[in-house]
Amino acid sequence: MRKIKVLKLGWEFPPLINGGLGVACMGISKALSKKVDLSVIVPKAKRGLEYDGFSLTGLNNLEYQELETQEEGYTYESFSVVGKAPVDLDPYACVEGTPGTITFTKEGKLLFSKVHKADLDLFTGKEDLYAGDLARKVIEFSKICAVMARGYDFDVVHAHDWMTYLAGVEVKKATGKPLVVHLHASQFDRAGADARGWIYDIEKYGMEHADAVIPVSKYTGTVAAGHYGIDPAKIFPVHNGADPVEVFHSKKKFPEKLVLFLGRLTAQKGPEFFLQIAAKVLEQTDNVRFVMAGTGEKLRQLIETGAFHGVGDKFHFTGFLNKQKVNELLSMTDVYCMPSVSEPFGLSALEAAQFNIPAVISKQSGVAEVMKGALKADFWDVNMMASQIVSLITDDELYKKVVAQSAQDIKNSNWDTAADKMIRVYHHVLGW
Amino acid sequence: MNITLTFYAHQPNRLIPYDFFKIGEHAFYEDDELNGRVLSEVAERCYLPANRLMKQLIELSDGKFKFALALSGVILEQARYHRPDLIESFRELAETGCVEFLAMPYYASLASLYSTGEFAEQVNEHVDLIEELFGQRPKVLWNTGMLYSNAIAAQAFDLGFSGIMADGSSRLMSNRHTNDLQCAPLIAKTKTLIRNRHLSNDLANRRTDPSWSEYPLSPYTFADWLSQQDGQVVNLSMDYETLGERQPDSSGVFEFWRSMIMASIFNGNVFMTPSEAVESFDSVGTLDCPSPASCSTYGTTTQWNGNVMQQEALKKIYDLEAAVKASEDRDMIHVWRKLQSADHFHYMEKSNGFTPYPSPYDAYIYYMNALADLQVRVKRQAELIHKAHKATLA
Repeated sequence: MRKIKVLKLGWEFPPLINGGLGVACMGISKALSKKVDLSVIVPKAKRGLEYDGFSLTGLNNLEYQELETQEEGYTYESFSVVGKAPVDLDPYACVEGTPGTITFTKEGKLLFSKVHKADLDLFTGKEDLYAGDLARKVIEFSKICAVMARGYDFDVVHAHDWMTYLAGVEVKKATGKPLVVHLHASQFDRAGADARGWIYDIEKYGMEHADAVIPVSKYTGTVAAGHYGIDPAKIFPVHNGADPVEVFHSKKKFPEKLVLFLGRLTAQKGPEFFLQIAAKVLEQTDNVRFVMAGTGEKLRQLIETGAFHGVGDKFHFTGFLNKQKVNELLSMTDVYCMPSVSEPFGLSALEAAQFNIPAVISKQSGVAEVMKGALKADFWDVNMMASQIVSLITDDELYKKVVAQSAQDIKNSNWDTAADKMIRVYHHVLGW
Repeated sequence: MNITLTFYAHQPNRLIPYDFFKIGEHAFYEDDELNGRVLSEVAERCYLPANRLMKQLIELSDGKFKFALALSGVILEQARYHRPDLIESFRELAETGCVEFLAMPYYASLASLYSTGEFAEQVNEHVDLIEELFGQRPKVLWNTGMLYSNAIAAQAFDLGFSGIMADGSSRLMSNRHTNDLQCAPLIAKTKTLIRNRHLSNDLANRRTDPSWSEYPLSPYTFADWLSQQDGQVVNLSMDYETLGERQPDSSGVFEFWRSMIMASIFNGNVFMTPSEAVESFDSVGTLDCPSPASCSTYGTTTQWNGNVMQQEALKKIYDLEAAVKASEDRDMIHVWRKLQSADHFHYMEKSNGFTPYPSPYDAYIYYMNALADLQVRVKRQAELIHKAHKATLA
């Protein structure tokens, strides 16, 4: 059996990243490229950055001439699934407004035009990938990828998250190759069970047209099957891995134990639950400090709620921290807490395990499937998580046991293992 | 008419952006450089020229012009460190014999609301400092923000003051005359001087407001208004920053005051110090003030403790009292007291425009982080003392 050739479509890629998606993409690419021939297309890549094992092309670095030569003799298929698309939408945005809409032809069909030079400019500017006319960027990305794909030799196309699903479908239609879609996060996670709208539509459309769906956990797989109605037979969960990191330990300057929450301050991550957990723990012991590292729309509200709960002197906010400061914080943390309401995976719990920090995590998370060592509770079960934290900081034996088990757990949580599983999925869709 | 004129002066110790990572290892919370710079600038624009003007007026009037100064211990500390010439300037005023220094909690704190023991200690600390610097032992109390209540008046009596100042807001004064001395219930020996809010604000706020009906105010008109007042004594009181900082030199503030004071004297008005007023007049009746009133816009304490962040910060700083005092570490007690200045909490008010921090939330976070560091230091100190005790017992 010869080496598979894979065309990967990503959205963010380090160092131009927003959250965990870009990091995961790179981890997957590096691991996959050891065993397959890999080409990666993303909207924006840092100029001049090259990787040994795979080719990385950012649309921002393309010349229009390259595209033009591919376009000869190809007519786009129109697809009509997206009837209306709001013009200024960002899944991470917090301000609700009335988005404008672009309506299509009267039959509800969108006819793709040729790619124009101006379309490439969407990706060369300084604007953030998620800002501005996101719908247009997603559509342009799919047009351009469909054209470019004709110049690549590959067996399977692999698209990461909804921003690239349209592109994935368009590439499949243009080349006839099978499509694998990767589900790192969905609208269900971001906006709850009632979330509907064009992003949900694209997620559903992409997964329905895909030959295989790879969610990052069994939990996310059940979301795809239950919430999006995708056939479970084509859902193949593959857990994320964690990049090896330079682990160090430092002594904190204050005597109390430190419990860490690391993540965006949005409803999905459950920061309010962390606050309640902190209040409950502080009722039982004052030998502990809580720190909330990250920023988000809920920051101010959390500050005031913390004051209201009377934990202002023991519950600290750091705002956004860069990687170096995050590691500094991890090096002095005693317990990691992740009370996410819905976490497709939860890479940060793995990172904590790398730093030998025991974790108390929500059962509604993908990483709970991987971490036998972590203490788990339902995200709303504030009492349980509080008592788990108290146990960890007062019972040394338990602490050591959990840390030891977590060290075992993360041994298999690497990208190479994940890449092998993905290759098996490729074989499955190719019928090899 | 009789007139008392009281200026209050205070500059807070603004904090550095004290972030989480400093807790436990960085024992310095204040932005000395910023505070020194602000003091210097305000001294140049306001305090020094205002002092010069007052001294001139005393000389021009042959000592008929008298006034009072309520200077916080904090601003005097800052001046000693950054601008000793400012201390010298106040001392020259003291030497004229026409300036009375009033007492207040050294740290311009809200201790009168949160810890009566602290309040007493802070007032005594202040009184000692005033005596050391200016050779006067204050007899009249001007509490932070003119905070006043029956309980506070009772404390003023316990501390031996002959007078206490209160703001004449409409809430307090429903049908009383601002220009008459009052007494709190059951307190006879300490008299309450009520600030004439209306006339004070005419000078402090409205004078430079073009939409005011009396704008532009002539100093002679104001002097006439003073003469036309009824009652025992008109008590004017405002922030010293009115002269040169809030109302800059270019607004003609110094010229206005020079003319206004001299015209008032010429009209036959008598300037007296608050002590003199207290000695000269009897209280006309009982003023019942069960809950604290202040000289803020609404006469309440909400600018300091209206929202949850302020309430939490105030609770936690005063919760430390027993532990801090048990440490018997004078420096640490001093640091703890400086964190009680009312300004810290004012900066956490969401509608406050005069803040050195990016937002009231940042003010709260820097403050609580610094407080956490203080907690850690207090704990360390307690452990050291505990170890020392065990060692001596062994």
